[in-house]
Amino acid sequence: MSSSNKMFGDKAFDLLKDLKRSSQTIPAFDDDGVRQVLEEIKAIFEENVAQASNYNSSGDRSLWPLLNYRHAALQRNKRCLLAYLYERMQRIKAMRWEFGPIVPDDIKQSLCEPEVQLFNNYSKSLASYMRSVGDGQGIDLTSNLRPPKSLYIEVRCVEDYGKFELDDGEVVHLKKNSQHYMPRAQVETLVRQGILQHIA
Amino acid sequence: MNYFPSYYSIEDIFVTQEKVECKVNTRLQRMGFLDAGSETEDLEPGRTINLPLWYIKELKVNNSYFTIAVPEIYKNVHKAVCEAETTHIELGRLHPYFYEFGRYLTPYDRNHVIGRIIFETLRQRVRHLLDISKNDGDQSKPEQRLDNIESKLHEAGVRTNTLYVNWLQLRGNNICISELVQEHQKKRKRADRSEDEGSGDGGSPSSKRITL
Amino acid sequence: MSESEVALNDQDASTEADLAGAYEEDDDEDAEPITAQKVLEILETAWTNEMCAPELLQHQTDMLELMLSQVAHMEEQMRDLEKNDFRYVVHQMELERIRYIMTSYLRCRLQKIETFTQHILNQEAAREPADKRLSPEEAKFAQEFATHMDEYFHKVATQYMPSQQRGEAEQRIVTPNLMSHVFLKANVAVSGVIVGVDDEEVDLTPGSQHIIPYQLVADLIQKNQAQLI
Repeated sequence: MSSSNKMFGDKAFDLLKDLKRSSQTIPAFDDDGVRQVLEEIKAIFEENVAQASNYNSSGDRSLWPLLNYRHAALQRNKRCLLAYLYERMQRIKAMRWEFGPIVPDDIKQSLCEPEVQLFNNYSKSLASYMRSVGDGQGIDLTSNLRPPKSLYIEVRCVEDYGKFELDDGEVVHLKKNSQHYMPRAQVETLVRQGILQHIA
Repeated sequence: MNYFPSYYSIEDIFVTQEKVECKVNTRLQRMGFLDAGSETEDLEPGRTINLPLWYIKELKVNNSYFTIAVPEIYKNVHKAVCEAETTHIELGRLHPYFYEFGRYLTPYDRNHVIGRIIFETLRQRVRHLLDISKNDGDQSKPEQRLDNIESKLHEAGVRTNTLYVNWLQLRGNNICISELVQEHQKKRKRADRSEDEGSGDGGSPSSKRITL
Repeated sequence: MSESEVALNDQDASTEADLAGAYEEDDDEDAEPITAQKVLEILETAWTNEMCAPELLQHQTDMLELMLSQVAHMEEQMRDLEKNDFRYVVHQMELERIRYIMTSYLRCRLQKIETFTQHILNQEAAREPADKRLSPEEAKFAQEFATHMDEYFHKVATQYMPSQQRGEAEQRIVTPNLMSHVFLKANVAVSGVIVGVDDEEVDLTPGSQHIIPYQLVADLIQKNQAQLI
């Protein structure tokens, strides 16, 4: 270990540093980094187990500070690694609220398999919660994100979307660059997803 | 905002990654690897080394292995604190986590001044912080001037102030595109562009649009 | 803005009548003497309290259910109105305001549930059925969320780690900062509120406002003697 300039725990810290530096959507899961941290944890643990048994039989306390240090390093590694996963989980959760139940493929590629499952599980759980609110009456929590100021808003269509049916059965043709005056509540999601743009 | 770090708090992990200067008091077997300037297997008494806070804070305050040195920065600020002149200090340059780092070191400070220094520093600076939050737009980035907690407060101040001004002027009622979606679109546009440059026919851009 | 403000204010009276009327029709046999306006008031208070309090507060399932059926009922009635009718616009606006309050309230609770999951589940386990803070639906969501998070951590990391030591799981529980300061308005006169670590006491007069660490007044919020603002 003395040959490398890296301290114990530095690799685990790098995981977090890279994640924090990256922008909001999620960077690729650092498979290699995670594996290295897990290996360091295992190595520290095995060394400590070996020396602790030695210490127990001989009663020699001279290695106690080293055991102590390595124990702290082990806990540090765990904390950094779990904080890395925890932060990724926050971003995965945010994706459900912002993209809806289907994540764009290129973002999905940044997730590892357990993360895709986490997303799907969270998505299902949230959907079934929203359906069950109020004795099964249900409420969509991903809309009504801001206090309403007006019933209708003026929107411009950013891209060709096609036909869009309003609650009252009226069908609007959403064509790129066309402008519409529509019920706020019904088009909020399309604005959030970048298909419509809310103009004054 | 409410700074209350948990086990998973990245900020707290960043603070505890900071190094602290320590004097070795006793020979520590096989710990020589902690001393970058020495080749010995053991850590020799009398050496001065830098250890990360995450290790230091697991040690007892009066442990016999190391003497923890209070960083100079706090002593340097002391004079300014006494003269009530802390507002012009570039705290962020002194230490990015001036307050939190200081808080962790308080128990190791035999003269019991750090606690008072950081308290007084913040007390003197917080009014100034409020003023610049109101006057700065988001364009000026006072990274050098402010410590991490201060810049969080500053951000919150600027944000609140912007919201307030918008509210007074009846602005900002528009629904916005979700930030994640927006970022994703930008990224995709960049990718599309580089793809187009790479190959002669990049396919129709609209075909990439089905997944939303 | 001023126009819609007027509409909203105007609206309160008519909605109250409408809601109350509709409510009586629906639940003749039920003896509960609560008006729809009262239900909305309770929800509004619960909403601001929830937004300001660091911890999760008592759920309001009954009030939410009442309000949701009320909203459905109002929508039903409005179907017959012409869309350009002034009454339609006013009612629709009020409905959207109510919907916003309900969704914002539930989102706020979900966020706390996701942040303090294990802490909340532990507390719930120790509570009597009548004192539960999670609604049954929220309890299910919280349980599932904890499981999914554990699964994720297990698959990616913890299964490869040496087994946990005592206190480690405990250490990882995320808890709210109950000593964070809140703004408080007293609803009634409360005497002898302890406001400091040194047992300093203060009498609150009705309508008076204070800044105070949440924990010291948590029970006043619970008993509706004061509310957060």
